[in-house]
Amino acid sequence: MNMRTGNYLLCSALALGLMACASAPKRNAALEEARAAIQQVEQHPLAGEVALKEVDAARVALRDAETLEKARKPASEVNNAAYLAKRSADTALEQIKIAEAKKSQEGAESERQAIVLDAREREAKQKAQEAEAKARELAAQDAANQQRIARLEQELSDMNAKKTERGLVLTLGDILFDTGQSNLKPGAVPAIDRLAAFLKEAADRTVAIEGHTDNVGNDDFNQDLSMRRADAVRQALVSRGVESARVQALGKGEALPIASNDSAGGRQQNRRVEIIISDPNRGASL
Amino acid sequence: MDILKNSFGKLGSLAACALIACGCASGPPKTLESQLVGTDTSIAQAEQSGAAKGALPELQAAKDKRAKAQQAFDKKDWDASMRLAQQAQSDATFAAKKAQADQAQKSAVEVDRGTEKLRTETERNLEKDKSESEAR
Repeated sequence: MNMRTGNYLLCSALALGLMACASAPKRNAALEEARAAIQQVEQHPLAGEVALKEVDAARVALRDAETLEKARKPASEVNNAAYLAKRSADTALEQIKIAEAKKSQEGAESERQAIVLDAREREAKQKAQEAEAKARELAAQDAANQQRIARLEQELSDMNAKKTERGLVLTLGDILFDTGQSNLKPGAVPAIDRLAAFLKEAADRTVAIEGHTDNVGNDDFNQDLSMRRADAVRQALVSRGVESARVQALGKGEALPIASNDSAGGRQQNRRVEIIISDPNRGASL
Repeated sequence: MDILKNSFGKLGSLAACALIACGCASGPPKTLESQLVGTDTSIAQAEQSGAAKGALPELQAAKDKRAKAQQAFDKKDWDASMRLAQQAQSDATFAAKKAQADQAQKSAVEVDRGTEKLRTETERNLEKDKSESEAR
């Protein structure tokens, strides 16, 4: 053996050694990758719960790959088994992602329900509070109204109004008009003012004004006079702001005396204007 | 010695015959045929799971490997065909799961966003109602 041949052999041996070194890690790369992938997925807390089947498949495939490698089977076979192991691990990871997404979705959905429920409760509570406040306010208003109307009724009572089944009847004597006339005298003003004030406050009341005369003079004249006098009172009320629809004027002539026409005192009582104020709360009507 | 040689020769020719017979009579192994069917099923399932949208590269890899498995099959390279079919199936299974995970994540994000929106709207409405009722 000369030097040349020796060198040649040495080189060959080196080359073989290098090849072996280069091919060994190349063969293990797929296996290492599979091992790392399986390790990663095994570490996940949900792995055993939701991806047991996939993780097991990955482990089995990895064991196959390791067995093939130990048996020095061709790289194609080892790599194939390693690839299958890696893919099973990848699949397991996706399975875990699905479970995580579902859990998160369930959480969001139950949170949503809680929000809706909570909002409903708060809304109901708020509404109840509002309703209560409104009821209190209405009750207070009602009480104030009742009080005011009672006060006004008291004022009318002071004017000798009488409660009858027709309603509250206020009789204004013949002081309102001169004999045979239908123009209101200045002395009538305070009574008309108070009546108008009452009607403006008690907006639910309507009023009928009836003119009456004694039996002096003929019937037609008295009928006409009583009508004109009732109408004068009506006009006075309307001009003080009472809605005309709420005020009705009627001429009753001499037909409904409240005293005997034989005496001067009786005739004076019969010459009168009656204001009948309806009271809707007591069911009285005209 | 002669007898021995003779019998070895006989054995050898017998083995050769058996090998040839196997080669001629054997179509593809049954396991390969069922593997190819399984791979096709997995690819179809991946497509149904929306892998064309959520995991297109993986689905494509599965289809490419399935095609190569067919080529190997046609060349009667059963081992290579088996390996390619197995890999194609694992790619398809992975693609299907990936598409499903993609879908599940999107839907979870959507629900989460909806819940967040509902929360802010609810808060705003309640605040509005409150200030309105206080103003009254």
